[in-house]
Amino acid sequence: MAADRDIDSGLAHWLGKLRTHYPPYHLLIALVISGLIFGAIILTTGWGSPMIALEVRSNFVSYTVGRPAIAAIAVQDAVVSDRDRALLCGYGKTDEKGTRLTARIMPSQGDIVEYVWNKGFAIIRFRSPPEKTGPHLDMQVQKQPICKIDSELSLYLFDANLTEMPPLPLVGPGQIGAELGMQPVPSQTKSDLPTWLTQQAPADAELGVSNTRLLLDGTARVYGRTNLGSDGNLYPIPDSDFNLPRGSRLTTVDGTWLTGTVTLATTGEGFDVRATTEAQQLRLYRIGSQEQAETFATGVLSRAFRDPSAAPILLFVGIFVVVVQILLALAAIEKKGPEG
Amino acid sequence: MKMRGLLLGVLLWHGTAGGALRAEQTVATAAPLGEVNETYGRSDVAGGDLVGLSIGSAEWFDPQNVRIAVSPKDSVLCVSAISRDGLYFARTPYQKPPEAFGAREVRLTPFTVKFEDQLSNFNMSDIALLALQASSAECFEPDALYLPLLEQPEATIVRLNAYFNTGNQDIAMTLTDDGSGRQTAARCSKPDGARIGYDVICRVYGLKLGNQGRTVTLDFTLDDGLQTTPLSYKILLPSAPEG
Repeated sequence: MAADRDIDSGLAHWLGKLRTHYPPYHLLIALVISGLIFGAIILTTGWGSPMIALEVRSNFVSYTVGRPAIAAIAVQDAVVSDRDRALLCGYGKTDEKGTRLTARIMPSQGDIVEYVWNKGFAIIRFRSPPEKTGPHLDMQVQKQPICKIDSELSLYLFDANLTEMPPLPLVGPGQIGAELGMQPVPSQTKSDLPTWLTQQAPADAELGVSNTRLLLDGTARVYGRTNLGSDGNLYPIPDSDFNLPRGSRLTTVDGTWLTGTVTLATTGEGFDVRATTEAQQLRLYRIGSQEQAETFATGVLSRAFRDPSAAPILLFVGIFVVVVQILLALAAIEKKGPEG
Repeated sequence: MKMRGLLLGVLLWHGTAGGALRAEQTVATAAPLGEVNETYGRSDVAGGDLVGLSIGSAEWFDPQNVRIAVSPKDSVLCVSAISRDGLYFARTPYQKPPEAFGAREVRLTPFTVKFEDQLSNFNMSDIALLALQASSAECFEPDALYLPLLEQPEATIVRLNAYFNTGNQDIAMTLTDDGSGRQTAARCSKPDGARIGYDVICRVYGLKLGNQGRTVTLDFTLDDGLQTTPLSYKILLPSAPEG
């Protein structure tokens, strides 16, 4: 009891001192208490790493194979260049016009796969990283043994063949588009397409080369992740769309994967890329006067108030404030008595 | 012998001037012909394929100590530089001083006048510097001999770095020793961060500098998936540092 009185008188003494030195002392106390509550809400909510969903049109996509099983591509009637024909273990149909290949290509872990869109046709390139030597690609034709390929391979697919195939995989660390940097000096024969390609093209196809590897347009939408009670459920954050400027590059950092697929855009121009990744590990490089790398984020606060797992806490705080107000009002009336 | 003569000359000159002799003071300095032409933030960028050449593996760029290899030929040194982010750009001709005759290297002084603070924060791989030997300050030289930046002037076994602008095409580089005909393939990789000024750095490891300076040829093959474009550059490798 004595100790209680000491604390009581100590607090009262301190409050009395505060009152004499700083008359609007209620303001200070309210500031401290609301600061504590605000801090508690921020600390307990809104820290789930947000996810990002990309919807991008680009004529260049490149990624490092993260899961070989998913990276396999079954090509139908792909054109093979004269240079690469020798790699095919004699598979594919060759006539006087050139070579066509129907096979399943299986890149190995760490290979680099590139999709380049050109007018009327797409190029799929399989490259091995510089530190890797020996075979890196498996090629399988129906009822035939596997052919191992130890160098770079490029396959050319006309739009008609590409639309018939399942979507091209994009699973691994990668980049979409390339920033509009300094252009290389053009070579004079750039627009002359090789004859082994033009001879194979459908009669009505118009072919052209896209010299720049651009991201054409797209949006990125951020989804929040809950972090109380449940483990990381996704929830939509309204108004969280980012417009991606043309001529920028999206790249994942720290080995984070892009997970999605690539198809021919329905507009007939560029690839349609749909992928998801972790928002904090995605960088947007755009041409600016100073800082070029952008990270996607929505504020902790906007996420805190949208987080469904935090809703009970916020609701409790709201109810508590209202009830305390009512009780205080009642107490004041009681103290004054019925006459007022 | 010429090198010795130069050393002796410098030693005597220092003796009379009363200055202390240190090894690095034997490096002749090349002064700009006219003003240092540089911009930051508003680049006067022009296109180029090969935008930088250096030997060594220093971590930071030191604008106070920019040294390039030189051949005995009397000439103008045409120096251009661009940063990876495309913000810094320089193109300045320097006059090779007469006392550098026979020397393996010269120091470009001043390399920068206005942007020393910015340049001091650059990693070595954030800036590409290309120097070539020309007969006049016009710097129009069809078959130029390229002079690499010496990142570590004291090194004998060096790494050659070539900064290239491919427009996101595939690139392969081979180094051919003009004397022995020996060929070495380079490793090419994309630098981190924004790739505006250049998008690929190709490296050849373990190059040994000899007693004499020599030339090597860099052969690049650009590949956009449809056709390949060969490009070739002649590079001067300096002699190994003395002592």
